[in-house]
Amino acid sequence: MPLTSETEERSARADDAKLRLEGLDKHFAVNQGILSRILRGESSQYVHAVDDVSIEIAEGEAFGLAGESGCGKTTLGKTAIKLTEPTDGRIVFDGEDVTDLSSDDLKAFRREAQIIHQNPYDSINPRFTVYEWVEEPLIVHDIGTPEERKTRVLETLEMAGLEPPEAYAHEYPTELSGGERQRVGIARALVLEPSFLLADEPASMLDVSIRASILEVFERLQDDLGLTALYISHDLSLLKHICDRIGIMYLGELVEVGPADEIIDNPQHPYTQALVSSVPRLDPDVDRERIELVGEVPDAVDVPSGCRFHPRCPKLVPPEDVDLEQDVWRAVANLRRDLLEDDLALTGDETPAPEAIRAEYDVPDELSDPHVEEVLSEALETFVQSDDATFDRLRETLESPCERGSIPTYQATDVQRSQCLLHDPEGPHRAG
Amino acid sequence: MSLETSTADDDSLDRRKLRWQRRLEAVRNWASVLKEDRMGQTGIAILAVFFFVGVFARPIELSVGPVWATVQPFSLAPYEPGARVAGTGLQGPSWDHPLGTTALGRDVLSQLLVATRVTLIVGIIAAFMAVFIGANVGIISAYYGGWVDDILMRITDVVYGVPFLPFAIALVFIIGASLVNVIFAIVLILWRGTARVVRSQVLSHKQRPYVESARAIGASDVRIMYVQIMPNVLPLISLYAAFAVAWAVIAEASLSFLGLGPPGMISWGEMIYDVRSAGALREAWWWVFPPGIAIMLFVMSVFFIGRSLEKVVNPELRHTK
Repeated sequence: MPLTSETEERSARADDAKLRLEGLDKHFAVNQGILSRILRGESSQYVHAVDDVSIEIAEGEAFGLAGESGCGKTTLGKTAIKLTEPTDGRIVFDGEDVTDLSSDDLKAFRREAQIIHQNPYDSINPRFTVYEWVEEPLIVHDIGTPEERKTRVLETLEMAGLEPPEAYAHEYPTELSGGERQRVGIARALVLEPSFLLADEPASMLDVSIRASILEVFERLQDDLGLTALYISHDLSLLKHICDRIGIMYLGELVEVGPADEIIDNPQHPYTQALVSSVPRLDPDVDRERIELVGEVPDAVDVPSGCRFHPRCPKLVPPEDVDLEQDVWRAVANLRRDLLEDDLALTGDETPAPEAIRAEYDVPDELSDPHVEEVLSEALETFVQSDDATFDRLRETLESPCERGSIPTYQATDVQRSQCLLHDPEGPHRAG
Repeated sequence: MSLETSTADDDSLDRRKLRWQRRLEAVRNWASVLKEDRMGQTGIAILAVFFFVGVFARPIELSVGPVWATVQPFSLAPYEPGARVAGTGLQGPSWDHPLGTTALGRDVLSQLLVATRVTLIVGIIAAFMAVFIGANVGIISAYYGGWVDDILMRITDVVYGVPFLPFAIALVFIIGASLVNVIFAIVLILWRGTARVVRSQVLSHKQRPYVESARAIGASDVRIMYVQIMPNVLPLISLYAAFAVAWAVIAEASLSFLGLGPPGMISWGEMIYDVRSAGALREAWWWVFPPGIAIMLFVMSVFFIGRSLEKVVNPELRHTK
C-alpha cells in the first residue's frame, strides 16, 4: 500500500464503504423476441427484479441478504459485482464508480470482486480438472510463471480445505462430492486474492454436515484475509451466524437493514417479523408468535402499488377513520382487493350469496365499524350487477395508506432502517 | 512435498502427461462403446481399408521446385490408370484385368484404387472446412445472441433454402471445374447443418453457471467461447464431422457424375460418368458396379462410425438395444 496523505486519509474515512449501491435498479424486459420488437417497439413490460436498492457495505464487513425465492437477492448480488448490468443507479467500489467501466477496468475490477456460486454441481466446467479450473483466473490475469501459479493454486486449494491438494489437483469435478466441489469453487474465487466476495447461497445445495464445515471455511477466510463479503441466503439462522449486518429483501426492494442480531431478535418491518417467525427455534422457553402470511408473492412484472408487501402484510395500516380489529381489517382488505380486481377466490357456486363470500374470506357477518360495513355490504350486493359507483366508493374509502405512492425508508431503531409506514415518526397517516 | 524441487521441466512434463491422459480417456470412452457396437467396428474396418488403399494406390511424389522425392513408393494399382493397356476394346474381367477395362482400354481396377485418394481428399477436406465454418458460426451466433444471432441465422436460413446441385452446377460452371472449386461448392452448402445444431447446444451451455464463473474471473469472450464452451460441444462437432465426410463424398460423386468433377482426376463419380458417356451403362457391369459399390461402402462405413460416435455423445442411446 502506498502512503496516503492526510487529506486522502480523511476522505477515505468519510467514504469507507467497500461497496456502495445507490438506487440500484435491475429490470428485465419480458418480451424480447424479434417479432414483438418490430411489432410493438420496445417491450413495455418489465420484471422488477431489483428496485431502488441502496446499501453500504463497510470494509471487512460480512453483509447478509435474505428473502424469499425470487425476491431479487441473487440479481442484486450479481448486479453489484457487474455480472449483470444495472438498469439504473450507481455502484461505487472502493470509492470508485464502477457502474460504467471500460473492458480493461472491468477486468481489473474482476480481480477484486469474486463470486461463489450456489450450485456446486453446475458451476465447474466438466472438461476442466480441479487444477486447471483453479489456475484459470491466474492465466486470464496473466499472473506469475507456471511454477508460481502451481504453488499458488495448491496453497489456495489447501486453504479451501482440500487436503492434500496434490490428491485433488488432477481430478475432474464429476469425481468429487458436492462439498469438495464447493471447496473447488471457493479456491477458484480466492486464488486471485480478491478483496470482495459474493457468496450466492453457498451452502444451500449441500447437506447439513458438510454445510457446517463449508461455513467454517468462510469464517476462517474472513478472519485471515480480511475479506468483505456479501452472503446471499434464505436461511436467516445461517446469516445471523456469519454476518455482521443483514438486509431483508421483498419483491425487489430492500425492506429492512440492520445488525444481524437486531434483525433476528428485534425485527421491525412486518415482513421481517413474519420471516423471522418462520425460523424454527430450539429454545422452548422463548414463546414466539408465529406469523402466517396470506397469499403468494405477487408477480414481479405487475408489482403492487405503494408498499409491495401490503397485499400480504398482517399489519396493514387501515384508513384513518376505520376502526376495526387488525385481523378483521386484514380480512376486509383481502376481500376488497379481490372484489376490485374481479378475482374472487370462490369454491363452486357461480352466483354466491354475500354471506358465502364473507365466510370464504373470514369476514364477520356484521362489522363493528358501521361505515365500513355499509360500504362493504353495498359492494357485495352489487357484485353480481357490477355497479362501478359502489366499487369506486369501496376503492376510495377503504384505501390503505400502504397502497399509496412510494414508501420511504425510515430509521426504525437506532441501528435498523425499515421501509414501512409504521416507522414513520409522525404516524402512518401523515402522507394521506 | 515435491513443491520446492519441482522444476519447469517437471511441470510441463506433468501437463503433457495430463493432456495425453485426457485424450486417452476420450478414446477409451469411445472404445468402450465401440466394443459392444458391431456397426462401429465394421465401419472402422472398412474405412481403414479405404485409407490403406488411398495411401498406397500409387506412389506419392513430392516436388518442390526442381527437387522431387518419392514419399511413398508402393503401388497397389497394377497399371497406370490413364494408360491404354488393352488396345481399344471394352473387355470383361480376366486374369490380366480383374475388373475388366474401360471403353478406351484402361484398367478399371487401377482406376478404382486410385480414385480412392481423390475421394478421401475431397471428403476429409470439405467436411473439415464445412464443420469448421459451421461450428464457428454456431458458437458465435449463440454466444453473442441479439443481432449477431439474427444475422448469422438468417444467412443460415438462406443457405438452407439453396438446393445443392443446381447451386453447385452453376458455381462450378462460373468459376471452373477444379478440385478446389468442387470442394468450395460443397463447403458453401455443407456448413449449414452443423451451424444450427452447434448453436442450439451452445445456447444451452451459455446458461450454465460455469460460463458465469468464467465471466466473473474476467475471461474474454473468445476465451469463454473456445476454452470453456467448445470442449463441451466438441463430441457433437465430431459427430457432425463424420456425417459431413459422407455427405461430401456423395456430393463430389454427384458433381463428377454430371461431368463437373475436377478434370484430370479420376474419382468414383467420374468413373460412372465415363461409363455413361461411353454409352456402356447396360453392358459393362464390371465398369459400373465397382465405383458404385465403393461409394456405397465408404459412405456406409462413415455413417456406421457416426452412429457409434452418437452413442458417445448421447449416452441414453447406449441402453436401447
